[in-house]
Amino acid sequence: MSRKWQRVKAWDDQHLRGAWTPLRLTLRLFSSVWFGIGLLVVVALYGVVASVPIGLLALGPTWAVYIASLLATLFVVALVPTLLMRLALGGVGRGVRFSLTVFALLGLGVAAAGGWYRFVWPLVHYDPITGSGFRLFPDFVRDHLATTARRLPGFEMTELEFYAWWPLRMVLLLFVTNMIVATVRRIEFNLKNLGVLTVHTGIVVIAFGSILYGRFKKEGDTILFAAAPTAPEATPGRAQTRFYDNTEVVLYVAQQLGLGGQPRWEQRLIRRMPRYNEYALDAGVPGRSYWSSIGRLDARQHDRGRALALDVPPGAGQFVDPDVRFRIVGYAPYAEPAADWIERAAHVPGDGSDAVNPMRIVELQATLPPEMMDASTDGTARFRFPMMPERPADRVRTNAVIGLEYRFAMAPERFAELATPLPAGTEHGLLISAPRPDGTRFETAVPVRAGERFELPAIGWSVGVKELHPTPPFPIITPGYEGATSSVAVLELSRLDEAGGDRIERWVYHRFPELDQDLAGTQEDGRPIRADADEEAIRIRLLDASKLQVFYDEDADGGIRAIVRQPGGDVRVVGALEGGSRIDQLMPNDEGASIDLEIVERWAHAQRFDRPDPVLESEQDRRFVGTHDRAMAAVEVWLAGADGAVAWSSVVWLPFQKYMGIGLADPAVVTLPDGRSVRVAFGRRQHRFPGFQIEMLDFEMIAYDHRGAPRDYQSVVRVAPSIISDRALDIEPYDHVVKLNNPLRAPFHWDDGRSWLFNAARRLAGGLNPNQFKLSQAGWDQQGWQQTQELVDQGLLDRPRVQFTILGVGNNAGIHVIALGSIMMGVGIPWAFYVKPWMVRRERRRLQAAHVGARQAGSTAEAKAGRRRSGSASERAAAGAKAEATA
Amino acid sequence: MRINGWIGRRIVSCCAFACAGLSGWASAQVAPAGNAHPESQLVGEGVSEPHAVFGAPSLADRPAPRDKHAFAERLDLTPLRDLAVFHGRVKILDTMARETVRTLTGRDAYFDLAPSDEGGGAEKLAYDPLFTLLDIMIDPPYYLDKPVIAINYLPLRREIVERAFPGAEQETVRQRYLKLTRVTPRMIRDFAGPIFDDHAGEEPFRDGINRAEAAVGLLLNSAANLRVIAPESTTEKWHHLIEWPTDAEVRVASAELGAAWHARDAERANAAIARLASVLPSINAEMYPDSRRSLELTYNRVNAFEWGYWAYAVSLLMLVLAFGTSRRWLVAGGVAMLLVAIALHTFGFVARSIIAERFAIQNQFESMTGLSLFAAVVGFVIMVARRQWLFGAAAAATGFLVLITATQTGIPGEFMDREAAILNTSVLLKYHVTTVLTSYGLITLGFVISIFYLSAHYGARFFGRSEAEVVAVAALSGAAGDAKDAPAKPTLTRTLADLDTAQMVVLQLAFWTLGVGTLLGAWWADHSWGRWWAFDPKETWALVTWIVYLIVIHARFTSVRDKGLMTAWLSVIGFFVMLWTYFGVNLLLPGLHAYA
Repeated sequence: MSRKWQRVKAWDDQHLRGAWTPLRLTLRLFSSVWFGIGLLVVVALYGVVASVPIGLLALGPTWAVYIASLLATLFVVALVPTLLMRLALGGVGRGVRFSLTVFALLGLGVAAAGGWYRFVWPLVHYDPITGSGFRLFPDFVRDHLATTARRLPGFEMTELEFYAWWPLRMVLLLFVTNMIVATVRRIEFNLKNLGVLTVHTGIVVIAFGSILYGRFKKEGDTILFAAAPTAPEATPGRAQTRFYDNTEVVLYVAQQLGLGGQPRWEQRLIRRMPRYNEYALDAGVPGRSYWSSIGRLDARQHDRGRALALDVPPGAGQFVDPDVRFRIVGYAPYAEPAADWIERAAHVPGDGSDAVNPMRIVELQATLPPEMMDASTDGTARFRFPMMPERPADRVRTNAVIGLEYRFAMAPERFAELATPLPAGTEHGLLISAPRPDGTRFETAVPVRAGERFELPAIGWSVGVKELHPTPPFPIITPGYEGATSSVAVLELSRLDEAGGDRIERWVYHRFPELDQDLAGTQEDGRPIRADADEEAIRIRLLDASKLQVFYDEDADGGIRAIVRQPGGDVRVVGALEGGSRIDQLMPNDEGASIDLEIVERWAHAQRFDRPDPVLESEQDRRFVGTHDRAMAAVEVWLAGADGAVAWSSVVWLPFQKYMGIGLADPAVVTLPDGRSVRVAFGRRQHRFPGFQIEMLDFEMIAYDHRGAPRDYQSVVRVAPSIISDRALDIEPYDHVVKLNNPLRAPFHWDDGRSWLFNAARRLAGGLNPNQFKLSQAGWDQQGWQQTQELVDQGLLDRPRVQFTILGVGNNAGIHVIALGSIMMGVGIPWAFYVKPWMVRRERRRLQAAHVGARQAGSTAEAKAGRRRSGSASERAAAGAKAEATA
Repeated sequence: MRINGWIGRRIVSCCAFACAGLSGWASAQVAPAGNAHPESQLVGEGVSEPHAVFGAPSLADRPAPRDKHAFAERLDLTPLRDLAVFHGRVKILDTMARETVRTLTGRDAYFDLAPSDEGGGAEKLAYDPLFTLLDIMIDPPYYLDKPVIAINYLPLRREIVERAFPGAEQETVRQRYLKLTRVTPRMIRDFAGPIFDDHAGEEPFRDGINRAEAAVGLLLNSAANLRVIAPESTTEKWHHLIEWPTDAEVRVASAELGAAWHARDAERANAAIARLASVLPSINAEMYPDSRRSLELTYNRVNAFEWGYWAYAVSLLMLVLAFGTSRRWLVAGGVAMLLVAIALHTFGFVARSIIAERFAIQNQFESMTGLSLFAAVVGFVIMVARRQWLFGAAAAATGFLVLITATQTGIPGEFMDREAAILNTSVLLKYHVTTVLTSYGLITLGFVISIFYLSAHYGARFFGRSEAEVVAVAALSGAAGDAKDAPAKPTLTRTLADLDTAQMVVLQLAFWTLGVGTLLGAWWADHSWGRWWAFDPKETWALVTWIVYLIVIHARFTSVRDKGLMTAWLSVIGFFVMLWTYFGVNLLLPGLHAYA
């Protein structure tokens, strides 16, 4: 205990009594070293809870048991026998006894550990597959092996948010206060204590710097695009004036159009947005949907019934009518957007559909012998297919084994074509029809294989089958048919009477004969001339009998007939479905299997609804967990009535846009009942660079020798005054090479044309300025680089290129204050540990020398008396110095 | 029309497929690069028909294990051993062989089993890794039914073996394979797919199967790694033998080697090996590496880290025995062995730094060898400065524990791969990582001294007061022989006080270096990532570790009765917290320090 602390306590006891007692106790508490230690322990435990998954923490007791079993084995097998051995060696010499003890402990210890591993460990070690072994809370551990406390519903914080939360702030504030009070009241302010005083001051300085730092901190990244590949060398790419925040997310809303017809986006900050857990995955789904019909997503299993309602109020500038309001009502942290269909009584303009879209749900019921069935089924496996007869892409469902097609009021001629039998064993057939010279019609069904050619002298045509494709070789882009699929035959047609004459290439679609095309001749640019198939000359239909095909035809009265084509050419026409909806025994067999089809639902109108399809945790990329990168948010757009209540609302699920505004995804458009429409998007908050902009001039990936792994990345960028800001900085444009560990400092940078002193002063000032940013190399267009490298290797390009580079952006106001505190700590510790003890030892030696000198000099009684005084003084000084040293 | 049952199953499965995915969605973002170790490519790309350089093996003539082993024994592979090859970096064939064999088998060398001549049991036939590498390049079919692929995840190994050898009557075979820890490539080919389907949701299975399949790929295609012809410049790739004309001397020599190998004609093979070894360095000779090859070969042969931990172990044992027996020769021997261990350790560290062309502290393995070296040197210096052999024993214990862990437990980073770009472009790495590793080494040293303290403290209870004093005093005395007279002088309290001083000397230094190292890391993070402190798990746990020692320092000012005992226990706690920071965080908690 230092003398200062004794004095202070004595003063406290003397003056802070009565009404001042609480102050005395408070001061005593904040002077306490134990209180400081307690606070440090709390900080450490907070760090543990923040960083270690709770599933791992729950493993602690299990491991304690494992370790206890090992220690018990060591105790019984190694320690106890060794102790007994030592008792038995009572008369043996010390050295021998010690050596034998060491060897016995070593030998028996290794044997005990080995025996434990061989016999005990297999018994206690938990096997998650079989559930054997010992583990406490196994289900909890399994479910939360990657879940830190901050990820739980109710917290939903990033690491930084969790550490910036008020409980830790409070503890740190108490700790700093404790340190200041204890320092002032316990430690003498002298040269010897300079070390500890410097360290404590350094910690206070760091705390102050951190407050400043956190107050102004902005960080994120920005994407810079390269100039067009055809542009001359070192041409700047598109100027970037903004960067994207890496923590804050916003709702982008727009109602008006600005310059160039672009939406005038307004950013509305979303506070308390979840990050890790699912909320209300069925938001926006009012009743029945196709997913609910097939049991595709059990929202409750994911979101556990968690609801969400985050109002998104307008910010400073409002570009959307005030009666239009927004709130977040659902969230999926890691999902793929997928289309669901909602049952509606009728088509309503503005619901996202162009026209009425009836839907039929066809169920395949497979009742197989028990040995083929999954034990979890009730004996019949059921699969449902949504069939939308009015949408070419959705009226067909097909895979390698079966194809279903559902049409309304199919033309009788088409029905007859599809019902045409083919010879047994046929996989593909052509139905050919053409006028004979005598005016009558020639019609035939021909089984074909790829590579075959045959002649039809009756009509004077030669037909070659160049290719047969199960799906279109190129995606169908005909409006209305986008995404549709069909088997395709590529035929080569020629007239028999025109030897060596023009040949026509005809593409014949099994599902969509209306898309059949003739390719004849080439355009100037080398592309073929395409035209609708000339069916007057020769009409060809493709029948795909390579797999089971079922064609439904529903008439206006709801009556349904069907064609069932077996693989190989056999055809069954079902004139009227059993009970109006069933086709039984789709595939007759002697295996005891029954495969039937039933139309189980008929919807008047199906409205498309894009919603999240959660990705299994085991398939998630951990880098994106908690970042929103793969997230979707449900946004409710609503109109307030006169009483402020919801008068109308609509929910739309929005995928997260990491770089909003660069055209990677379209925003959603919501049409209000009064005809107004608003655009909404969900993305990162954008900040504008203060008065400057950045352009990319060049990029290079530097590899290790011989094209080894990447060794560095460098972006050559140009900093210039912003061309769109009304507060553009008055700076000269300059170029900089951003590399790993070599960031760009902007707008101020070290200017070799100015004096060192000027630069140093500006650099120091930059450490306090929130508008000074640091930009670090963070990402690159790896795919583009690799593709162009291949072109370089082929001699088609002079050097590899990228389309973009990504720079991390951050300001760090206060960093120099933190650095100062750090230096004080780094310097103060060795002073306290090494300089102070040296000073104390030197002082002690000096006093001891003085004491010895006095003893030698004194022979008289007066001198003896003086020696006693001096001696006691020097002893006191030495004791004091020692006490100081410990303090 | 009759339909077989499988069609029904196909329909069911295919319909399920049809019910899934209605639309796709493309991601547009590229992950930040440069912050993680480059992925090691097991098999080189862009080489077609690489086995053709040695000719096709005969599928009919399968040698018996003993014949293969006899052939291997007659071969002289020395000329090939230090030939350069490009495999992630320019290395020597001997290194690539060791890495390939370790990747496949999980062991330093492959051994085969042959029925014993003496009846019953099996005899181990051990192979030089270089022979194994060449053999899987020249004669890969031989290994299809050899247990050559290590499966470390026991449930996966069990499942493969149970599917390969079903039924109670094959229990013995199953147990043998389980104990062997390896399975055959054919088993993986036959069973990996169904097992993957059955355990798709279980990450250890997925990882294990992916690793096993990658190993099979390496086994079957390792010839693609034979980029042994130097390029024309540093910007060009090394060439594979297959890229050279078939009438070129290297191709003739390699074809001759292949033919002799298939015929198991050792004499011809040795001649072809010598010819190949003389021709390869002469192609683009100015680009062919020179002295570094011999250093790498020496590094491989000396095996400094493994011999190092044995030397540390002997030193530790001798110094410990010296404490109890007061024999001067044990002290001298212990110190001498400590010097040998440090010399070996230093050679390994320096050689690795030269070969890898970097300060070799950039992955887990290297940092462990680095920190234990720093700790051993610091312990040795303090031992000499204070003439207390206790520090030498602590240094030996630290070196032994860390090196044996690094070399024997599959710590990541043992292969000298290229390192994360973020590390190789910063000088701050050297200061930050070295300082932190020094602190970790000191913490380990302090832990060992604290264990001595606790041993002395609790030894007095178990073994009696006087002997504990004798042992501890001997540990602290300048010469063990002095301890004969020692018991009469100090008390147990004095002994523990000296041990307490010793642990405080080390822990104070550890506290300082850990603090400074962490702050240097913050400086680097601010410079490189734009944020000085991100509460990344590694940072958090560095802080927690530092807090433990902060408590050690400040608890000395409280009114605790036995401060030395409290310090010793806190030192033990701090050591385990440091271990978690060092290993647990890296392996279990994802964060920015992906390379640490």
